[in-house]
Amino acid sequence: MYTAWLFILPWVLGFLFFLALPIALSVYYSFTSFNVFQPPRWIGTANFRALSTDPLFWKALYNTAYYTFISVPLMMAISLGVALLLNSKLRGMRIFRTIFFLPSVLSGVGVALLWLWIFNPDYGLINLLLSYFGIEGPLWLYSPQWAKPAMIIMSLWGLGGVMVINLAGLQSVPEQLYEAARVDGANNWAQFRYVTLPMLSPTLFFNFITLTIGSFQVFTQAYIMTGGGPVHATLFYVLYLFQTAFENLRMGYASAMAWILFFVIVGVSLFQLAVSRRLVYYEES
Amino acid sequence: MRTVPRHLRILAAALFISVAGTAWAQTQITFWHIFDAGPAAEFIDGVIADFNTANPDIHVTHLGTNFWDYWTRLTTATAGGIGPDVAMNDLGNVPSRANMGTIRALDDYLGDKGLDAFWPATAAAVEWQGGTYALPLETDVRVLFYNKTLFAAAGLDPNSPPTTWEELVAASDALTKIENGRITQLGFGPTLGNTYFPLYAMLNGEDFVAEDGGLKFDTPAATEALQWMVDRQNAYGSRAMTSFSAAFSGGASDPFLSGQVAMIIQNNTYPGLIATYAPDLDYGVALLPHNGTPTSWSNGFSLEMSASTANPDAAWRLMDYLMSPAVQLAYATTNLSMVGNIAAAESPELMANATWRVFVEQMGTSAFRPFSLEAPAWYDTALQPEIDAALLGTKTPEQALSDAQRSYENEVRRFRETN
Repeated sequence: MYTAWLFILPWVLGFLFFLALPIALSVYYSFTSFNVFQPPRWIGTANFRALSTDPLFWKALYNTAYYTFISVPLMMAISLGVALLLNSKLRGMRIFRTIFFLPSVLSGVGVALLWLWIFNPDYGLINLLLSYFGIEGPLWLYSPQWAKPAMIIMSLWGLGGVMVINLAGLQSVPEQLYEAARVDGANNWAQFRYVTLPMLSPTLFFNFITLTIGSFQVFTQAYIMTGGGPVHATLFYVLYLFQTAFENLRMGYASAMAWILFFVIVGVSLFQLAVSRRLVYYEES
Repeated sequence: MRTVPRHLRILAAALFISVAGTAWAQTQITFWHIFDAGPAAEFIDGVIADFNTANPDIHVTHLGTNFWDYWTRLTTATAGGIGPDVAMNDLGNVPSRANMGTIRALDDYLGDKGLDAFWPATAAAVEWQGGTYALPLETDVRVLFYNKTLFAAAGLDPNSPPTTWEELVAASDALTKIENGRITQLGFGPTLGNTYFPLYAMLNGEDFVAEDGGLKFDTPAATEALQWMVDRQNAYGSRAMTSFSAAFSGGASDPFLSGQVAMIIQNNTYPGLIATYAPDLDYGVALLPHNGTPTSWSNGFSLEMSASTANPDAAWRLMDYLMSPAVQLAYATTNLSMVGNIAAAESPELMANATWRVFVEQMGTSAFRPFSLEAPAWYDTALQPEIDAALLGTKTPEQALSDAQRSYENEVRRFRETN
């Protein structure tokens, strides 16, 4: 009994002191004015009330929702399409799988810096390609209209991870289901619609939930590439939270923001769960 | 027979000596700064060693952390009660820390001479509610750098740089080359270099200070300055200018060093960059062209004493030493810094250099941006997005500045509601 506790002690201590305690404290801080140098001072719900009239809070929430609602479905669709292609039984398929997965090995700051050049209005790869078709590409990260779409395009760089999960899901669909469907005269589309999709639905649902949560926390790209600009177009929620907490040292206000984001994500996840009851097929049920 | 290895014996001896050393009731002082590598780190090492030798009753331990990690380290250490006795900090927001009570007022130590030895512009930056809370370790100043070769090629006199906005515009037009809608050489770009809207507003006579002590952006002088910036941004095509500038964002390359921009506003440390990356560049330095108000913008690094130091007297002796003319002169020479001590900055060794003389002359007119306790980063939070909108043409200068004013007032209100 004690030996078991001893073995999990490092994890338990880490959890208590570096996760549970800070989380509990942030609940308290969200009702205080706290600049880290002076003791937190209780101000009731003032942070939450001030947030409700903070235009940047609403702007950041809007930017993040915009990013999530476009990038998640896009990522879901493209990663499924690529996974379907990579699931076909052709020679050299492993090489293609590696190629498609490779970009997601790299992430974070380096990739953000790389995309700064890809999006460069004059010398960037994208506008160069567009110019071959006689299109003058937008200013991308320097345009308030195009900065968010640019970030969404860039998010597809991380496609590989989602694609691999889809691929694993596809390969676990029993072959006899397809055989049975073919015997019943199902064409390719019918096989996809009535066999692949239902069997893959738990996998897709998992991706849907994790991608949504990840998208609500989008940060690095904007922090590195735009700093939230131009004109707050890429001021995402977590970036604004970070600036509030660690640049302006307003920990109370930032804690309140963090808890609002938590409830937003819980709300969205519950909604997804409710919808999923009718759309996701579990074999055992 | 087993003997204690030689290196262990030496270690034990060293340990004994150091423990015994502390037991001599030497006062221990810690000093944190941003010099972690290169000549600057060697310099500060030497300065602290000299101080320790000259002051046997005090022992200063110093720690350099690179600029990017320094602020987090200092903040967390100070919050945790294990911060240094003396620290370098941002000269632009001293009142924030004074107001939070993390730094100690220095008036008792400064005595009657006060801040007389330092640049007048820095005095305003270190004072808060009647007290003096920091010393101006080093400030900086912005001037105009121009490429003499490009001036000559465009038929301009390389020895008479522009002094007013009108002359700046004329020179810029003469120096700008456009091919197929793309700028291949630019005379002057309002967003390139070490500059931003508040500096142009200051050059147009705006100080942003409202009668009630708050900040005011939607004034005629500020609007006129923003209109000028917008005009300069659009002078050679708005898109061409944005594209041209985009290639140099993030500091990957410098358009002045590569000869693509003929005139740029930079600060007094820029010659170091030129010497390293473009040693053959034939450049001149001039006072900032203005529109009636000769001025510049300064910021820099302060020297501050922790409010919780156990040894303020010893800490002060270190600060006083670091601000002394001899140390400040060596500091200026090593780091190309516009040091806070006027006597050091105006010493004959430095004034022998023509470029330095321009820096010193400009420093005499320079100013810090006003401080707001409620919105300490107002130039970023309230102003910059609106300036961007005006430069992109989505708002008129009047609209942009009135929106900036509202944004600032909201920030002040939220601060008051939540503090």
